[in-house]
Amino acid sequence: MPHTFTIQVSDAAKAAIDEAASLTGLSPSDFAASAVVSAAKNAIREWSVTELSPRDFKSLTEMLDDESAEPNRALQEAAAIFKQGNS
Amino acid sequence: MAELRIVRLASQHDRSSFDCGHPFLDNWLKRNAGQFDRRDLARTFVATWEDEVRVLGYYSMSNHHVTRAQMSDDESRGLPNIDIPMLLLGRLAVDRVAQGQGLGKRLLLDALSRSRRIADEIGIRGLEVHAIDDRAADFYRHYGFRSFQDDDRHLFIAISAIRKLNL
Repeated sequence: MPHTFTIQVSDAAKAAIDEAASLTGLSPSDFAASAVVSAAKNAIREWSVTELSPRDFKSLTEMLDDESAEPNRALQEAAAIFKQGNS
Repeated sequence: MAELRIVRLASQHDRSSFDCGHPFLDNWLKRNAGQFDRRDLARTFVATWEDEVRVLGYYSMSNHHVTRAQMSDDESRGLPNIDIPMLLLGRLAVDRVAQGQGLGKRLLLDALSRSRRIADEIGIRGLEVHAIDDRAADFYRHYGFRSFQDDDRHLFIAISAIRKLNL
């Protein structure tokens, strides 16, 4: 059963939606509905997964693999204070 | 002198007046944190004065992993095929009455210490955070978190570095 949502957008946002809808051949309402569903699915997926671009995935892997990486000075000092407080 | 303590969120904790300046973070603590805990989707840890129930700060953690977008064979050469297991520090906030006293730093260190223990138990490669604004991103960067190139409010730190703190 179809559901109806009412949303309020600025003139500029309405113009952008109309333009995007005309580019994709959808009505503004159908375009908005499909975009919202897509955003909702992304938000749900991002709760548990981060999908990275190839370059970010590569640099993350390299940094996680770097066993020589040291915590920086600020973190080392904060850790020393934290350990005193918990001892 | 009264001591601050950081413990898992429980029903007796008073969250009703929590105000960190970001309604999104206030409302999540008041409305969602307990439900996420009961459903085993995320844990929330709160800072209070010992023998008091008013929440002065909190953080939430959950299981997470990093996957890669579609890549060509060339691009993926030498990269792991399995997803990278991580922890997500989803939220960290301090009430206005306690801001500027180092509580955010203390909550962060508690989260790092917990991450190290979880990594020892089940294998986790790093901790991810989503900073709510640029100031929060600078806070994490100050302690050595690195930004992803495509999103500078999305940061991480390696467990190998956390382990060297001997927390």
